[in-house]
Amino acid sequence: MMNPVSRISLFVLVALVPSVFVLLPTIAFVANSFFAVENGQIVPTFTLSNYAAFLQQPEYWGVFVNTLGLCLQVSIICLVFGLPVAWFIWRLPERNRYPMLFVVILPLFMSYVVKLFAFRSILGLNGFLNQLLVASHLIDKPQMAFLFSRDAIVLTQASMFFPYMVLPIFLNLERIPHSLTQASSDLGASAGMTFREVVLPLTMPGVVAGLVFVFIMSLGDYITPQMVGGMMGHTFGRVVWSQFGVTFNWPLGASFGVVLVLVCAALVGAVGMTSRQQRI
Amino acid sequence: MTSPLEKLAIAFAGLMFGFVVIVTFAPMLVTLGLSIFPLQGGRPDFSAPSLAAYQALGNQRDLIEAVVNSIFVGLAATIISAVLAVLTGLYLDKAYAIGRTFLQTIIYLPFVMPPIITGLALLLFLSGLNIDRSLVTVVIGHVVLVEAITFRLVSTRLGNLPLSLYEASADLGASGWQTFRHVILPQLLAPLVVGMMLSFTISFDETLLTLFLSGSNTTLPVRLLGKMRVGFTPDINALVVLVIGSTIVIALLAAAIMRKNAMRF
Amino acid sequence: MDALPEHMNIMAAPEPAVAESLGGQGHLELDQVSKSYGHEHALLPTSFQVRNGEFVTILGPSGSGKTTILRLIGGFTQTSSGRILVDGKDITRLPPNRRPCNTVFQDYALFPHKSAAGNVGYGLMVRKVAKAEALRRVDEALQLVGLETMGQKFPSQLSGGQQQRVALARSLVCQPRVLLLDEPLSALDADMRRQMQQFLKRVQREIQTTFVFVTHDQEEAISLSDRIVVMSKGKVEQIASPYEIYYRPETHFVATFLGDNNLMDGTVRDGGGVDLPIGPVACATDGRGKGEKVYAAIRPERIGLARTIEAGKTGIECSVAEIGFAGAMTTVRVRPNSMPDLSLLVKVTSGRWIEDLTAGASVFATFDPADISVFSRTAP
Ligand SMILES: Nc1ncnc2c1ncn2[C@@H]1O[C@H](COP(=O)(O)OP(=O)(O)O)[C@@H](O)[C@H]1O
Ligand SMILES: [Mg+2]
Repeated sequence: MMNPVSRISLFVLVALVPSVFVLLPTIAFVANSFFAVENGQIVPTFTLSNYAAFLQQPEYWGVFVNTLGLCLQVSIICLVFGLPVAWFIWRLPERNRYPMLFVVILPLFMSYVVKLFAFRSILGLNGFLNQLLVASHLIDKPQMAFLFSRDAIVLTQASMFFPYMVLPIFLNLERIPHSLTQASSDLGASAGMTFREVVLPLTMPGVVAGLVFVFIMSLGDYITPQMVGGMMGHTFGRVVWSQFGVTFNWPLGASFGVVLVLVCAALVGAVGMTSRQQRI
Repeated sequence: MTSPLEKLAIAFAGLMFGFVVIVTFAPMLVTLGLSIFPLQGGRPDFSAPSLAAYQALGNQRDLIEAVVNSIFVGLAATIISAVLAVLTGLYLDKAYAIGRTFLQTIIYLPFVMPPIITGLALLLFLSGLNIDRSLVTVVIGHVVLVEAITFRLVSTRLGNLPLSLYEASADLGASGWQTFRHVILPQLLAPLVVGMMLSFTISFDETLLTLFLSGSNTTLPVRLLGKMRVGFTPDINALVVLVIGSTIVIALLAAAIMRKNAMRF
Repeated sequence: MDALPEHMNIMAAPEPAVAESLGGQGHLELDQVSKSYGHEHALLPTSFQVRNGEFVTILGPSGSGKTTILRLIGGFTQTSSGRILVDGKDITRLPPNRRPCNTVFQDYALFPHKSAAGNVGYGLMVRKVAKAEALRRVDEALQLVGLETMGQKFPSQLSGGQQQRVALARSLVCQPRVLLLDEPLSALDADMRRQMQQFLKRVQREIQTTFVFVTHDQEEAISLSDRIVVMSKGKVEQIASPYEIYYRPETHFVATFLGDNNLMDGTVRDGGGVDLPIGPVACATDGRGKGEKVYAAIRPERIGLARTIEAGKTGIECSVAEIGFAGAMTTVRVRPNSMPDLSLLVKVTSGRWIEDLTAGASVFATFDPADISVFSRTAP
């Protein structure tokens, strides 16, 4: 039906752009992580010293572990709010469901930088939060503590990445046939038991996907920590960035990047596994 | 048929929904407020709303230039990635396609990798080739980032088209090209349009990757990031409001098309 | 209808213990129950009773309100008016989980994350039945449906028929007073469907639980049920035994919905009998008054054909219009010579002389007036 030459040329046509601009850069990036730097020059040898440096120096892996903790915190806050919100939308009458889902998704289409700036002006010393709290006599004088803190990073990221939690959970809930919850009720289960025994287990893949989405978003976001975290904003993303932007130790930065990608890959793999276990 | 306890749970979840909507919409409301109410000693003066900031938009020459850049990058990235996505989708839909997993992997990769890695990898690669950073490098970065979206939508639709559609068309005497032109392409229109709209809005807002790939002439988000330390003046806020407003309109349109065509990711 | 073939009766004698532990003979009553969605009436006020241990089928075309009735009994939809009683107890306002009925869903609704045994044990788990007893009852239920070796399989690993059986066992293990089944066989292929029909009937005889079964398949309804409720457009048309539904229809809808029928306009005669286009016929009129407009229906297989007629017997002289050979039976369409506009459908056992018939041939149609059923032309 088609000769091998045109088959291969078609393949080359569609594979060219992603190969050149995704595959090759990624390979180069990984290769770089095994290179060394001597006298400010990158030397293409094979060394594990970059990875060794990561493991040996607490300023690197310490920040890494710390950042993982931060990302976990962001993901869990998103889950605590995202599960009830997704469930709430799911319980709405059918015609209201997608409009309400859209309301939750809409902030994704509002500029990332503007959100950062707005959070700065909300949380800052002269910010709206302080003004509100002072005006309502909950505090005497404006608190510096809201901005430039770990909590500020968590709050900002959680609110920015929240839709990524709701979306997979909701879509997963939508896949549960109505007859399953009805059958559960028919067999004598209360609403609470139906939620625990049927709805929640069947939503697990969505929950895991949401957790991983938010976690990866948070892990890769190197701007928010700097903008709202101040001194606390020295997260792993910034450490990677500074190897490229400040110290010009690209191989070291690349090895950090590889570590980051490995974590993400492991998490994405976990999503794949849980969604495969689902038997709907 | 809802038990009292369940009603309570729904009410509680509803409260959370309201709270979350307030928090996630707060940045937009703050920006809107700051574009309308002039600041007086650090507080907005609610007594004197004015549209003066919107009339003064023209003062922000560099930002308007950045908006133009963003539109250029967005359109270029959207169109190029859409063409690639459709070609790839059609190719992979054929039984004789080779390298299926390979293609899917490299298309989805930039979408699942943190953008900092995609950006740094491209930066490293381009500088190795001695290619200077410019809007072109930004377009390249955005193309590989958003191709996944249109590809996903298009290939899902193609996968859902019954084989009998092709067979019926051929049976009625259509050539391969005619079948594509009159049967397949109309089916791809909705996912294509939605994919392009989403691609454009994502490209328009992309910051994490663009920061690595742009030179001195850059897009709106990166320009705004530079202005953040000094703070946004009312006219910047006004510009931002207009830009976000347009983005939301595009998103609403995309959602409407998706709903009408019963599309899912 | 009453006597089942031998091979289906092998398991007819129920073990009393099994019957007791898998359900009960509940008495179901619907009292003026109705349901409307906005201005649309899905179910007009309906009353009927299902006796203890009865197998009742709700039969009707799609959209006639069958599912609505079942969902109202199961508690998934709220009644617009009326009461539902089980064993004399009003359950109209109870949530599904507190009703003494269980449903076998059309799509089975098996929990995909639980094994067959997990599914069957679900109702016992939520009722906090002791582990040992629950295990025993799950085994027993699986055994009843012939899946005792499949307990550890997940629904995705079971065939359609097996899933169907798990769904049945899952409901029965809750010991419902009334079991509700909404087109449970419609997803199965024809062969499996016939097997499951026999299986369902056998299980019902064995455990003697009251069954309310919904289907749009006439043959299924006729072969399974003790009584049939025929529905059309949200309204009950007739409730009767399969035989009566088939041979003694009471409405135009029932007369035409199940199989072929011959329907004629008629008028009740003075002193009994009906005036039909083919002449006066001495059939029962159930005390209807003179001059009442009625329909008269006679099944095609209750009309005979003869080339000649014996003296003393009555027959209508007809000409053959159409002949359709269908194996054991042959359908013949004939037109009475006195009424060429009327056409009668006749089903006769195929035979040599029928084979020789040709269109235009002259024949006599004979029938027993007792086989004609008469019902009012105005809706009851
Ligand atoms: N949730 C609903 N909203 C509006 N109309 C409904 C709903 N459920 C059923 N109906 C209507 O009620 C009528 C009876 O439906 P149903 O009981 O499902 O019929 P059946 O099961 O006999 O096919 C139909 O006309 C249907 O359109
Ligand atoms: Mg139905």
